[in-house]
Amino acid sequence: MGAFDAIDISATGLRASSLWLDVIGHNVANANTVRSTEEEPFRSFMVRLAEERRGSSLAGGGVQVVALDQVAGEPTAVYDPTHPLADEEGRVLYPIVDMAVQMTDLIIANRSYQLNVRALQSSQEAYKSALKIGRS
Amino acid sequence: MSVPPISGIPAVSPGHPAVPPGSRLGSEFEKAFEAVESGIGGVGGAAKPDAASAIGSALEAVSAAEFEADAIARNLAAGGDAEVHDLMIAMSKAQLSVDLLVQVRNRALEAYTEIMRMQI
Repeated sequence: MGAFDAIDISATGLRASSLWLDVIGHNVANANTVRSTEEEPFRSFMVRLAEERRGSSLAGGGVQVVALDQVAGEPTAVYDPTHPLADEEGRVLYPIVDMAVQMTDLIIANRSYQLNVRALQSSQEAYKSALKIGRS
Repeated sequence: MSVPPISGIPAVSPGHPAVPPGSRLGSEFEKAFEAVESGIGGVGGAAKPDAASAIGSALEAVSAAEFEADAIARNLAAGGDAEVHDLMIAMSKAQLSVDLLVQVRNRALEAYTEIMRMQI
């Protein structure tokens, strides 16, 4: 058992939440990425998390991001003949980004980051309290 | 108090990529504490107490924590791939290590002055 296991575990949560925030930012930034009908449309990404069993603590090692998945779903072909990417029928593919999902995910990711910071602060305070043991 | 290791779980530490492996603070501390313990346990025994090396290795552990925080701070300032939370974590680890060192020093000094005050 290392001295800073609780801090290291919270750090993995912080790293995962931070990456999740990055991914949501990427999805929202590409919400207007139009592609031609010959290509795959932009599909929003999702982080896949897994429990980390390694680490010196008996409790576990925290969390890790194992993969980035892309959402399934039928692309919507929109009639826009003036678009430079439009095909012979004047259609382009719109990205598959559900803004409602992205916004709720953003709130969850943000809260998750804050919670990990709080957990880290608590373990820090516990450590500081331990240093006060026996102080006259 | 020691916890028996669980079989099948390798002791791998998830460290920061900017930090070289083997510089994990927990293990450094364990080494330092072992050194302190062997120093204390050696009083009256066969082995000589080696307070100087015990304190030396504890100081090295604290110094390593500060160097780690320093490296991440430099990486972040230079626009590297370090994250702000990594720097904050490294800095609080370094600060907690210094606090621990100061406490250990205070207790040791307290014991010493207590003995020096003893009337013979």
